[in-house]
This record gives sequence, C-alpha cells and structure tokens, in this order.
Amino acid sequence: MAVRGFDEAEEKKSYGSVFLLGSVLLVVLTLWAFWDDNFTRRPWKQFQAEFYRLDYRKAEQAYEEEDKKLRADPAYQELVKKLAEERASLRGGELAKKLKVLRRDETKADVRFTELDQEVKFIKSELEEAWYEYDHAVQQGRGAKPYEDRIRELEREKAGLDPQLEKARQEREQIKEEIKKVNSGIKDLETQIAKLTAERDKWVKAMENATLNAGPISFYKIPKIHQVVLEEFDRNNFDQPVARVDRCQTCHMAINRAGFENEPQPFRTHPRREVLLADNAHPPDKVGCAPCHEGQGAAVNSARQAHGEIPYWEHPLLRGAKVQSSCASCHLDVQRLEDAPLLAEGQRIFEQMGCTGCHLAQGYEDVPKVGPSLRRIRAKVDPGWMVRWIQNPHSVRPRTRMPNFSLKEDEAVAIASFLWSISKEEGEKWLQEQPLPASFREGDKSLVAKGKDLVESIGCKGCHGFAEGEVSTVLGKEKELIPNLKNIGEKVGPRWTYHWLKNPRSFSPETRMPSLRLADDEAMTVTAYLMTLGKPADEKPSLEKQLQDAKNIKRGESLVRKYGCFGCHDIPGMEKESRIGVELTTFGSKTLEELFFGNRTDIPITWDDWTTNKLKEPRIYATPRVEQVMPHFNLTDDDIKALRILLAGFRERKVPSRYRADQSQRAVQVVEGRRLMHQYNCIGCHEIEKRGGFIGKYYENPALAPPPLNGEGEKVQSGWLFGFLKRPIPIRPWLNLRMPTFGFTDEEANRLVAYFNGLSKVEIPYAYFDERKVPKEHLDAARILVSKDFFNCFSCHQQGERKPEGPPEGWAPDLNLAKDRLNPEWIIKWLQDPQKVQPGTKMPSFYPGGPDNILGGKDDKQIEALRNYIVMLGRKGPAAAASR
Amino acid sequence: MAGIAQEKRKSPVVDDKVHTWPHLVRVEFLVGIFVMLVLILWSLLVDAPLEEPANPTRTPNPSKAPWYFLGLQEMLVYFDPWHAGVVLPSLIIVGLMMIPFIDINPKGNGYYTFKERKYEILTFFFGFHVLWVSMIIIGTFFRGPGWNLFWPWQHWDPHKVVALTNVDLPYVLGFRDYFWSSVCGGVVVFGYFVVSLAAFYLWILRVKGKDFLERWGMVRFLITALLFVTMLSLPAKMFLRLAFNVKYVWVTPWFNI
Repeated sequence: MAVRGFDEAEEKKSYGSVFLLGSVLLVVLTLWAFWDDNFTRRPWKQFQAEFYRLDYRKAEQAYEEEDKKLRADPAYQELVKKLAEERASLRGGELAKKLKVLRRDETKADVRFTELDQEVKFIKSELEEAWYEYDHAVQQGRGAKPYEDRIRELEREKAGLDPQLEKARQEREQIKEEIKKVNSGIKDLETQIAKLTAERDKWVKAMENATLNAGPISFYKIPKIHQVVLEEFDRNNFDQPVARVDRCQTCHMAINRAGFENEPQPFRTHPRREVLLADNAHPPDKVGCAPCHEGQGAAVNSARQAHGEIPYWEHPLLRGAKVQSSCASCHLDVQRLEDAPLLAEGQRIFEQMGCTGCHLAQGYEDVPKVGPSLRRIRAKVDPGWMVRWIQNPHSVRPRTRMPNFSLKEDEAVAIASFLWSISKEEGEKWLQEQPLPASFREGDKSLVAKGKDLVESIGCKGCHGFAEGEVSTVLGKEKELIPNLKNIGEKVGPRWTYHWLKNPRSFSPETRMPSLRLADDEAMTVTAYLMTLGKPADEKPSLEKQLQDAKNIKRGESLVRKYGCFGCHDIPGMEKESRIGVELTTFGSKTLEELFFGNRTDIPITWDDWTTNKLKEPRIYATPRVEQVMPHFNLTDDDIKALRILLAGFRERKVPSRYRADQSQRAVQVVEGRRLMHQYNCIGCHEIEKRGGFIGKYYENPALAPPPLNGEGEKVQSGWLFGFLKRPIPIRPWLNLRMPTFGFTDEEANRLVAYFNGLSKVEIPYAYFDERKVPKEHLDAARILVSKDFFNCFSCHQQGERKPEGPPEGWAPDLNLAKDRLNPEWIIKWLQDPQKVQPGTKMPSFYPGGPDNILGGKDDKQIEALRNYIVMLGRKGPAAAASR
Repeated sequence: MAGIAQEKRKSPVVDDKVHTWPHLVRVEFLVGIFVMLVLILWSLLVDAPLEEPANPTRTPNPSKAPWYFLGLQEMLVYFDPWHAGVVLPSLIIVGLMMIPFIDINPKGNGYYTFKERKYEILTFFFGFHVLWVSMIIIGTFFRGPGWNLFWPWQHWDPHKVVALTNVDLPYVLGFRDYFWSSVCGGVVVFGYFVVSLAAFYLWILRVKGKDFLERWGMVRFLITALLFVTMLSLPAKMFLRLAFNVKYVWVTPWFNI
C-alpha cells in the first residue's frame, strides 16, 4: 500500500537552488537564442558589413589617389588660385559695393513684381467666376447683362495691369542679368574646376553609398536582405505557377559592379559582366542569379544552404561550365550564344552523332537518321569489309561516327548476312541497271592522275579526307563527320563508285552526298583514282556460304533489332520501329535513385559522374544479370563534357514565355535551318555564322576558296537564293571548285533561305527596285566612276561575257548578276565599307574619299549612283529597261 | 458496488490531502522551466527535418503513415486490410470501452499500485507497449524502402530485393484443393480460439481461483477471453509469418486471415 498523508518536511524543503539554476540556464539560453538568430544563422550580415567596409576603403583609396593627382596638376592649382583671387576681389572694393547695391535692387524689384503678379492672378480668378455666373445665368434663362458688364470691367482692369507687370518682370531680369555678369568669373572657374575634379568626386558619391549619414554621425549601412522576386517563374510539382525568390545578392553585392574583379568571393564581379548582365540580357536586379545558376535562392542561413548543396535540394548550384546548361531553358537558339560554347558543341554532337536515333528528346524528334541507307547495301560494299566494319568500325576507321557495338565475329557475320539478304532484290536490280562503262580501265595511270587532280580541285575535300589524318570537317574534337576515303578501295568497287559519283541519289534517294555534276569521263577519272586507295582484302571462301545461311540471317535480324541499327540506318522492313533507348527529355532532372550504377563501387554517386562514365564506357554499369546495349562512341573527354552540359539542360522546367528569349518563328527557322545546314555540311566549304569554311586550309589564297556566307541573308535576294540552292550556277567561273547540286526539296531550300534570312535578321525578304526612278545623271556619273579613270571596276569584276582584264586570282563575280542576285540595300552598305561587311575581302574600299568633281563630290550620292548603275547592268540596256 | 463501499469504510481514516501550494505549484513551475530549457535547446540544436518538395508523380519510398498510425500500417503486413484496418482496430476500441465493465478489481483508485493489479497492468502493458508501441517503433525505424526490414545501422537501399516465398498455412500442411484448404483454415482458426479459450480458463482458475471466476461471471469472462485471445492472435500470426513464411491461415473467397 502506498504511503499517503501529510509530510511536513516536504513542505519546508527549499527548491531555491534548483530555481536559481533553472533561471540562470534560461537566461543563458535566451541570450544564446538571440545570438543564434542574429549572427549564427545570418552570416550574410557579416558579409554585408565586410563588403561595405571594402567598398568604402576602395572608394577612399581611389579618392585619395585622384586627389593626389589633382594636387600635382598645375592646371588645377592655377584654377584654384584664380578662384580664390576672384572671390577675394568680390569680397571687398568697388565690385563688392556694386554687388551690394544690385542685390538690394533685386529684392525691391522682386517684391514689386510679385505684388503685381498676384493682383493679375486675382483678377483672372475673378474673371473665371464672372464667366461662370454669366454661363449659369444664360443656361437658366435669366438676364446675363450684369455679368457681361462685370466681365468687361475686369478685362479692362487686367489690360491696364498687364503692361505694368511686363515692365516689372523686365526690370527684375535686368538686375539679375547684371548680378550674373559680376559673378560670371567665379562661375566659370567653378565649372572648370568641377570638370577636373569629376573623376575624384565620383568616389565621394561611392563612399556615401556605402555609409548611412545621420546628422554628424555616419556609419556603415545597416545590412538588409536584397531580394528579387520573379512572379510565376517556376511551376511546382502540382503544376501551379510559383514565384522564384532570389536573395543571392544579399552576399554577392558586387556582382554587377566594376572594380571587384580580383576580390575574393562573395564580393567578386561577374565575368563578362558588360555582356551577360547588360540591361538587355540578364540584369541581376531584375532576374537575379538563380534562374541561371540554380541553388536555393531564398536561403541565406549559410553559403552551403544558399548554394543548395544540401540533401533534398533538387537543384544545387551549377558550378563551372555546367551553368551553360541553363541557357537552353530560355534560349531556343543556343548555338548563337557566344558564352555557351560547350552547350553549343554538345548540341552539335548530339544532333550529328546519331544520339537521337535511339533516344527521344524533346526538340530533337525530327533529326534525320545519320547513317546511310542499307536498302541496297549489297550493291555497294565488299562483304568481308562489311563484317569487319560491323564487328568494330573503329578498327577500320578510328574517327568514324559509327559506334562500336563490341560484337563477336559470328554476330557480325550474322548481321551482315541479314543485311545481305534484305538488300538482295533492290541491290541486284540496281546493279543490273548500272553497268560499268566498257571504256573503264582500272589502274590507268593517266586516268588516276587526272582523277586525283579533279578530286583536289573541285571541292571533294570540303567533306572527305583522302589520307591518314586528312580531315576538314570535324565533329566534336576529332570525329569525322564524313568518311575518310583513304581505304575506300577495300570497301567498294569501281562500278558502284562510278555511278554513285555521277548521281548519288539514284542509289540512295535520301543521301546527303551531293552531285558535283561530273561528266562521264570526269566520273571515270575520279573512280580510277579512288580505286587506287586500298584493295579489297582476300575474302575467306567460307564467307559467301555463311552469308547465305538462313540461321545466320535469322540471328542477324534479332541482333539488328536488339541493337537498334534502324535508329541510324534505313533498313527495309524496320522503318516503323521505335527508338530502343531511354527517353532523354528530362534526363537532367533524374535523381540518383533513378540512375543505375550497377555493381560499380569506384564511381562517385553523382549525376555528373554517372553521365561521364556512361558516355565514356557505355556498358560500364552492366552486371551479370543486367545487359546494356549502348555502343561505344569513342568520344574524347571534351566531347563528353559538352554532351554532359547539354544533357544537364534536359530538365523538367518550363520557363514562362515572358521570361524567355526570342522564341519567334524566326528563331525556330534558324534552329531548323542550321540543323539542315549541318546535315548537308555547308560549313565544310563555306564559313557560316563565323564557323566553318574548313576546306579553306587547303588554299593559300583565300580568294580561290569558297566564299564565306556570313550575312548571306542580307546580301542576296531570297528568290535568287532559293533558285540557286535548287540549281546552282557558277558565280565565280574562275574557280575550279564547284558548288554541288544537293537535290534539295522545295521545303529544304525554303528552310535554308529562311535560315540565312533569320541569321541576318531580314524582316522583309523581298524588295522591289524601281528602275524608272533612277535619274539619268546617276547612270552617267556611275559610268565615269566605274571607268579606268576612277575605280576601274571591270579590272576584277566580270560583266556578262566580258572577262575581267586583271589576273584570274583577282577576279570577282559577274556584275550582270547583281540585278537578280544582290539586295539593293546591301550593295550600298558594301560600297560604303566592304571590310566591315566581309572582313578580309579583296574588294577595295573607295569611300570615304570619292572624286570631288562627280555629283558634287558627295559620297552618298556617288554610292547610290553606283548601286543604281550596277542593278541596271543586268538589263539589256537602259533604253530597253525604260521602255518596259 | 456495495462491497466496495463497505471495504472503504473499514479502512483506517488518514489525512490523505495536501495543499496545492506549495506542494504542486512550485514543482510544476520548476518542471515548466526545465521543459522550456529542453525545448529551447532542442530548437537551437536540431532544425526541422525537411525533405524534398512534395511531388505527385514521385511516390516516396517508403511511403509512411503519420507515426501514430505506423502500428496499424505494420499490422497490414500480416493481415488483409479489412482485418488489420477494420476488424482489429474496432476490437481495440471496443475492448478499451469494455474495460470498466470487465475490470472488477477496485484497487488502485486514487493511488499507484502494481502488486494489487498485476494482471490488469501486465495485460495492458503487453497490448499497448509490446504490441502497439513496439510496432510503431518497428514501423518508424526498422521499415525502409519497399517496406523491407532494415536494421538501424543498415543503409536503406531502395533496390533491396527480398525473395517472396510466402504460402498459405493449408498449403504448408499439404492441402492443394481450394475447398479443403478453406475448410482446413477454418478448422485451424476455430481450433485456435477453442483451445486458447480453454487455456485462458484454466489459467484464470489457477492464478485467481474459483471465487474470482464466480464473482467475475460468464459474460465478463467470455468477453475478456475473446479480446485476450484475439490480441494474442496478432503475435501468433507474426510468428508464423516471420518463422515459417505463412501468408494466410484461412483463405476463403470473402476474406483471408
């Protein structure tokens, strides 16, 4: 039984010591809580205090430096001395007396003017009232006569006062003017001094900005949160728009201020600030930092939290080049951006390496298959070569884009036999229709030599290499976009080569290999040359039988399906197969749980490491149970980095359109057109968007290389460009190079025209030139200007049938073409300054500095006259043009 | 009830009241101070555990109920939802409501005693602490991704695979036919109740004596016995599952136990 009852000792017991202990602890903890709340959890306060000190010190230093410079400057000293003298002279003597009188007069005049002014104002006010009474009386049908009289009276009064007021004003102005004159010496000096001290006084302002002045005391500014809120920038996981709150600049206070480039973080200036943080780009006071750099923008408790490098925060700070992955969130056309080179490179690799053959990704759905069609493969390649190629393409051509599937030989034979069987019918039919010309003699020395010359002169090298290491167009760091033909003889025979060269599209309608419009004998010489590059290896006698084996064919088909060969190649019967790889649209948002690391223990568990190693060694995460089929692309580390940055940007993130950069139709056209341009490798020969023209390295004289096409959209007329793409004509007949016929469809040609127009920001693609409005004096003047006496245009430019008079390497395009080809506005720009339009052009600059005696010596007029003349040249003659 | 009053009157009269002040208030005040100290210290040292933002397209693994429901969630491992989620919780509530009716021991009113209420307290202790609270602890700390069991020092591997080899008890006993399996299960369940009711009777008889049973009455005995035996069926089933991979004891077209 429990002890119950009254315990006296308990009542008398003192708990004083326990109470004291509890109270003391409570006080201590309260103080700790205060400290924790204000200092431990608000490190930004320290940062700001530190920054203001730094800012103030810098300004002070700069001020003192400037001040020292000023003091040493004799001009400044002189001015200061003069000012002191001037001031002294005003303080005593005649002038001072005069000034005193003037000031007194000024006060008097001021009073007089103010009095009169007020009187007039009152009269005006009374007039308003009288008019109201008058209107009111009329509207009510009462007699308005008394009000009319009142109005008349007031107007009389006002008329009497007005001249007086004007006189008073003039008197006052006159006195003021005189005072100003007396003071003008000082004023003058002060302005001159202010000009000299502007640089120094700027720093006074800077010091004031870092401090708070309350009367006589001044202290550093009180720290406060600097916050940018982007309404509806994000969408939460329930697809509701939410604001993004960004407080990064609470610590990074100098992010948009010059002069802090070498300070330690968080006070460093943003790199390329002038461009990236400009008002028309990403002004940090409006868009903040986190939209590009991610991190936990709203957090300020510690650098680690603010940077989001904590568990559960899904978007940690994008460090280093990875920030480029953010560009794609708002910019549709990222290849144009100068500050996202890795992202652009990643995109090029992704589009052209064939990634999209197996992986679906939003925005890349329509990238065409990158490999050749295998519909007639039997008619093209040597079977032994084919087996070797399938087994490991990198051993045949180390830089090829075709990845290595790490197949065993029997697997390669099986795939080859499947491909052999499906191309039997069409391949043999094509071969029957395309016999080798009887006159072809393999190994004929003169044919071979001629062929070599032709290959080297007509532009084959813009795309193909013909020797070890010879490459013009590189994808990524070292991939060959187009096959190197140094061993082509091992792969194909003369019959196929001859007909392929003559018309690639007859063999493969979708091929991007263009026709160079080779005549029969030209094709024959090139074929003869190519056949000297490598010989087919001796075929194993059993191969033919293996290729016919039905078991092999069946096995080959299942292997082709397993490895998804149809992702890159057109294979009959597999046109509708879907991509075998995982969709990558939101790959960048994948969590670590979603990434399969297999049994690897040597790879750090991060997204970056997973992706890097996957691209480096695609089957690295395979386990004895989990097979992986992604092939080996043999990418360099740089390529992998670029791809990783692209992939990091494939995020579940929808930035609202009002925050996004240009998404107009034009931007879409540029992106699509550029993709097409890359597909046909225009940059192999031409420089476009300051990139490409790779064939140029084979030419010492740039005049003999294909022309750069920077600004082509602005230069040529859209209609002409369309026609030219469909059916090229020689513009520079002195070049041995040939613009190939690509066989663009109308849609493709239109897309390319829109691409060039989009790049040049051409708003209105068609312009009409009304030759009837060309004054005759223009034509006369221009005829003199183009003559030998002045610019001597036709020493370089061809004119119709008339060849230029100078040496061929100086020749320039036919001016008769200008009418249809060139944009009239562009011609003017070109004549004004050719070097500005196309740096490095051999076209001389004639302006400014045209002859004085033509069209009044005015450059503008002369240029316009020349333009009009050039545009008229293509016509039958001015008379014919006028009569039309 | 008359008996209780009589008993009370017989006990010696003692002064069993003390003043609120200072006995209670000052101690409460001191306790208040120390509780505040602990809370302040805790809030200073430990931040609120936040995880990633909720995402309807990504179910968290493991998906856990609020901690106070984790006992229930743990029971779902061993029984059908209707049984673990409806029948057993209802019986718990009904059983708690029954306590004033079935408990005829007047000892311990107004004071603390263990000796005088050994079986009452031990039964409650077993039901509440051993079954309910310990299952909450298991559910909170020992259940990881995939609702698999993890020791506290083990990494919660979301890809952990545990072989699924559970079978029904009749299958273990060799029944393959559906009908006879059902019959077998029914027999086992009924058998369990019959046997344990009898055992419960014998046990009460031994520890409390015949007098007590007579005072207790048939109805009270049966209710208590049923509740007690049902309560014990939970650890019994857990044992069958964990030791012998038994999925269900009794499988019928309408319910499984």
